[in-house]
Amino acid sequence: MKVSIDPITRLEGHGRIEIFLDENGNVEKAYMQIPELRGFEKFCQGRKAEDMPIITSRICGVCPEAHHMAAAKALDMAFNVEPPKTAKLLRELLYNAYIFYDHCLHLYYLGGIDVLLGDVPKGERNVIGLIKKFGLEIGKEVIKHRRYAMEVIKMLGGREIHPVSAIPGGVSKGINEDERREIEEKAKSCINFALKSLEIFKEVFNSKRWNELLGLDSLETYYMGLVDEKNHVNYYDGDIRVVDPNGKELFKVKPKDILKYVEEHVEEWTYVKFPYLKQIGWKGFVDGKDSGIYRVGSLARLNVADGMNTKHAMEEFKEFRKDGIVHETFAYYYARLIEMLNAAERMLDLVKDSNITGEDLRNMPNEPGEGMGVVEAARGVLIHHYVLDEKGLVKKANMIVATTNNNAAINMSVANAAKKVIKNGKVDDILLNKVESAFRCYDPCLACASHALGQTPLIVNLYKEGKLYRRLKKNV
Amino acid sequence: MYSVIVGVGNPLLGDDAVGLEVAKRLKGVVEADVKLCMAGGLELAEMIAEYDLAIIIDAFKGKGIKEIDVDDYEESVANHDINFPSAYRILRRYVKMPKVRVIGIGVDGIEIKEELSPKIKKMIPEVVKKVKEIMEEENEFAV
Repeated sequence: MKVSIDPITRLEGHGRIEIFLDENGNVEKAYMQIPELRGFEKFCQGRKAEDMPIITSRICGVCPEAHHMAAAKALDMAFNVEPPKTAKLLRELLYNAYIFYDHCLHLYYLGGIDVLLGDVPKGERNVIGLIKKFGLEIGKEVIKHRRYAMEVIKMLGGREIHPVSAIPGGVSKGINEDERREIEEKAKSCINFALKSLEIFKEVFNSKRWNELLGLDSLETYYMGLVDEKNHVNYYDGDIRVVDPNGKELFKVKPKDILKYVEEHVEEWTYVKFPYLKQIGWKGFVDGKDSGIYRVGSLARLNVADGMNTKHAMEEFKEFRKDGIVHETFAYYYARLIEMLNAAERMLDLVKDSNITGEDLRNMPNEPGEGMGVVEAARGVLIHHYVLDEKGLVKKANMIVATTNNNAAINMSVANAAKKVIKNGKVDDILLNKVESAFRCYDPCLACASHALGQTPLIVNLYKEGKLYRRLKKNV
Repeated sequence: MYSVIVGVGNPLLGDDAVGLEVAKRLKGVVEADVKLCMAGGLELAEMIAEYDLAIIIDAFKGKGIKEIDVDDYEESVANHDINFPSAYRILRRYVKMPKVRVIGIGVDGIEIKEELSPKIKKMIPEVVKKVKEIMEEENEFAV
């Protein structure tokens, strides 16, 4: 039997989940394949360095702010220039608005539906189903606060969605007192909304169904994330900290040194590489202390940190980590909620800083060289690495994106979930949705992982005794 | 009538950017706000909220210039987004959403480059004309 659901798509190439069943209809193996359109790094060669924050932000429509900021930070380093205090505050403010905006999208429109609604029929697996269950008011609040965050991004970034304000050595645009006050009011409202969101999700976290979701997949991996000097979560800047599956620090390094600690494994069935920790080594698709596989993203950030840099988020963090490191993959959602609150609170703290309306916005760049910019995209550690020539043109550009960092773990989670839910050849839409839900926990961006500009749908292929017998093509 | 024209595409993907180019040509030429969208379905729906009329211009893989039914316009077949028809239906519950008309421009394929192919460039005046006709049809007059 072959099932095909064909959405109209403008791009070639698809994300693919391949599930192989044995003669009894149980899962033998499953993996996730990401398409690759190579050539983006080459496309960047010979371009003016200062164009990189604009060009890379267009890699895809998912996290332009993260690429914009990683590129700007890489150029700060390449031109050996430190932005003035006001510029750093403005960049971090924009960045926290982005984290809030992006998490809000995933929690209420995308993956969060798996948590809030569970196994509802396909037609109700969306915000409309959410409204049916939780009432109209929540829908209005979601739309309002996403708009608030976007307006803050626009005010600071100079443009909706694709910001243009971060430049080597600072920012091109400051804010005045009126704008500051407007952002302050919006941030306060966002905090209340994030607290309300935690209340809503916690109803599920206290239910039996949540335990079932947590039981779908758990991986005892290493974790990687950015932390500030107090080892608190920071999305915009800091050192990279890696902890082992027991929470013990393996290393903490300056972002510029991270590539010395990471290597990439290659599999013949995919172009996308599998980064792992060099000092632990690649042991295949297995978890545990002896395997160098690490995870990034919200769960990883809360596992590597000792706390959060804002009051309410810190309280939530303590509850989240009360039993130590959290390995269940669905806990990515819980961590995402705490981060949404943290991002809103951080917006308020930053906008109340007396330096935020300062006029010293940029320091002048020095001679061009080599630079590395690391930020936490909503979905995890994002690295931009550039080598510039003496004229300030890009000689070499390399990017390691969050979903690539999570590539090995995503494959394992998909396989674990498939083995748990597909038994004796019984496969239906609800079961397949469960398999995909393990993958959605990571809030992955396939387009970005493959450096394929634009966005791609997902195909699920089921093979029985070596033959393809079912195919689903859909959005995830 | 409060109208908006949105060009959709990625400026780094060759002919995919044709919608953006058409929108740029229409700026100041028609009585409508002109916006560029380089993101997915939800952002696009959010951009057109509260207008009376929205004309969306986008590339599709195929041939010619044609009007696409809104329900078939799944611009964002995305892994981290929702498609335009769904986003439109969701927002419609909370905010006023405009009448939407979508013009598709058929392109051969997509590659990483910053220019349009000569063949697609030649089609731009015809698309501009088509947008003006739609505006007239919808009782909006080009300046």
